[in-house]
Amino acid sequence: MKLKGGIVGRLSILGVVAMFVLLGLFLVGAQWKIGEVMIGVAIGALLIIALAIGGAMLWYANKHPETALMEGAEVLVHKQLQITTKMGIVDEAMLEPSVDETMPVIEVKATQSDLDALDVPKSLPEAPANG
Amino acid sequence: MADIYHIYIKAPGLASDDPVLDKRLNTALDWIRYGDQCWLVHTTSDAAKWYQRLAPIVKARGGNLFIIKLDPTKRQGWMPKSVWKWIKDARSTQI
Repeated sequence: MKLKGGIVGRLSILGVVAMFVLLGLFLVGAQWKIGEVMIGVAIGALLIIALAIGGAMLWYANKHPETALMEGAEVLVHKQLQITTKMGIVDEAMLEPSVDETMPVIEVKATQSDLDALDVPKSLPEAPANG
Repeated sequence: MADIYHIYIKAPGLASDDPVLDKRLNTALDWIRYGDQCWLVHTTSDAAKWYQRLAPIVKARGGNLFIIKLDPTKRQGWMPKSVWKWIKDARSTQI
């Protein structure tokens, strides 16, 4: 599978390059046996970088799976394709999220207890005595 | 009288912009797709009619189909402006 595009694709390429550099350092260290401490430090730093890149890739791909491999322009097209009408794709300016300004404005300032409060069922009308 | 319905379609192998799907949806007065599998449809047909139109496509692929009439007078959210404009336009062109 090719991972060329998007932030995940680019970080993948960076990760592969880092692995080659790591391999090169191993070979240099084995052949000339010089600066072993420095090579060890460099290998350690590369491992940390590789782990950080891997973690960032997993986080982003998990949070944005549909756009993880897309370039900027592709992300825009993806958004436009999502918002499509019978008449066609909508303008980029109309993709910006907002509230519906024609409806009453709701201030989002609920407390945790408000958020946790359960719905109270409305009482049903009394059934007729004979029914 | 035209109403607004929410339609959810999930069918393996069926893209959201599949021409077969577009052809059926284009029988509505208007529609907007606001997510990969979600549409708002401005229509004079009822849910049963929409089920007849869309079920063959979905059932053949082992997917899911959900159609429900909306009350657009009660709405709130955080959506692209195009969605709000579409609802406003649909309500202003009641037939």
